[in-house]
Amino acid sequence: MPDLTRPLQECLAAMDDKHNLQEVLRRYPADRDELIALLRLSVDLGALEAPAADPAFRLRARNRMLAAATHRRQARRWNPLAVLPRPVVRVAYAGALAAALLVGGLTAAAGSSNSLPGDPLYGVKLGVERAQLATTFDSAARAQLELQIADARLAEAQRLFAAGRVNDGVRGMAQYDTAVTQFHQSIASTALDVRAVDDLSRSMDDRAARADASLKALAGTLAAGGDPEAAAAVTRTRSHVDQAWSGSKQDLQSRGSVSHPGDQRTKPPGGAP
Amino acid sequence: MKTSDDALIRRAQALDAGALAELYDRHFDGIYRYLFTRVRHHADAEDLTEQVFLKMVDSIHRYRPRGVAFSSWLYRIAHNLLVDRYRRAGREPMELTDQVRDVRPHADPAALAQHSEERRRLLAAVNRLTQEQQQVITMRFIDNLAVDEIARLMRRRVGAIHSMQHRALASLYRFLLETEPAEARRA
Repeated sequence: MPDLTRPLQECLAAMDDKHNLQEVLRRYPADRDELIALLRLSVDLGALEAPAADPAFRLRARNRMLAAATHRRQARRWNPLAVLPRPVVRVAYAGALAAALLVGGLTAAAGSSNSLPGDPLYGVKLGVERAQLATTFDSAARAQLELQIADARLAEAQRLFAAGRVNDGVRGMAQYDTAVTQFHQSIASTALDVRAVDDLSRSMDDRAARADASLKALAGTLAAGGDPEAAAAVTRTRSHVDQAWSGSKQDLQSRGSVSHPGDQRTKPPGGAP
Repeated sequence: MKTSDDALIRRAQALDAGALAELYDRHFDGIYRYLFTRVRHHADAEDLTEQVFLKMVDSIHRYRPRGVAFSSWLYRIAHNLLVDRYRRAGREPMELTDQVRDVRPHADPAALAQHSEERRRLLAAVNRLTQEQQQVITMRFIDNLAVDEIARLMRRRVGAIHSMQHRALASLYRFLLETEPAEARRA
């Protein structure tokens, strides 16, 4: 389907403002049918409107939330770290974790790299990842790290399925989905220079293609092995991450073209003006 | 506006009751509608909405104001709770949407059945979108928010919301075509 972002935007604006929609559609004769299909869909979505919540429930839930906050605030008084500013806590946490890892033995950290959910060392593996994220302050490096973490989640899910731990594998797929979404949201809200955008685009394209192929194969294997529910879960993850990758790609492309005019993108660093 | 939002969130991270109540009031309707649209059941939507805000209190100290928009963070919690619930129940999101019923008294049974089926297919297709796309679609076409308001809530550029809106509708259209009944394709 071609990129109809702009024509769709004009059509929706015409509908919102009660202007003549046909006039807008006449400007896009080649895309008219597709635009009408998308506009019908937007109207159908409007019919899914949800009723307002019960005001009594709204008040009850608000009071419960505030009671939970009070309880938590009282518990916090016993935590000396809570009074420190958040960046200090983050650095302190990262430092303490790093020291603990050093003192406790780098062996455990290294040994945890192949661990799977449910293994005793899996918590160490996640802790190492959190420490790496907490101590990576460069946006581009952080995004690359998030990609690697997504890779790790996918590899774990595949190994869990291969080991016959189907339920854990399905949970692993959800973790992979979350990791890709986290990457997508992270780059959407982070400033990146042109070089970082290009590097990330390349890394992402490679991963997206490899992940898509392996998820497709995995879903096929599970379906053939008589596990349609697990196959459906993998297919759903495949669909989600495919869209997340596409969104990230478009986001990076628009970032590049918005903040850096096209001619600058192809220039080598330090090139002639 | 962004500064005041950030200040509000900082106060909420210190578990200030006024700030938490303000965040609750700002986001309650959106979160409730997001959840109701998916489960189509008042008690379930209420239960999940309450859990979202309790979870917000539990983990707001982990939210980074320079990261994703606060509303996106909250919707992510809602989405995860929804997925957890389906998983615990051992069924797929689509099965819950089977419960969708059209309660219009004037609808004849055949039209009612067809409408219910179309709505079920539409909800199933919405469930296949990414969480972020679901959020945009819900805000734009169900809550009828303007694009610039959505951009502000999600802390994204207006152009990015337009683009995401198009991608979401195009994906929905594709998903619906994939599941279109054979007789409709022949017609």
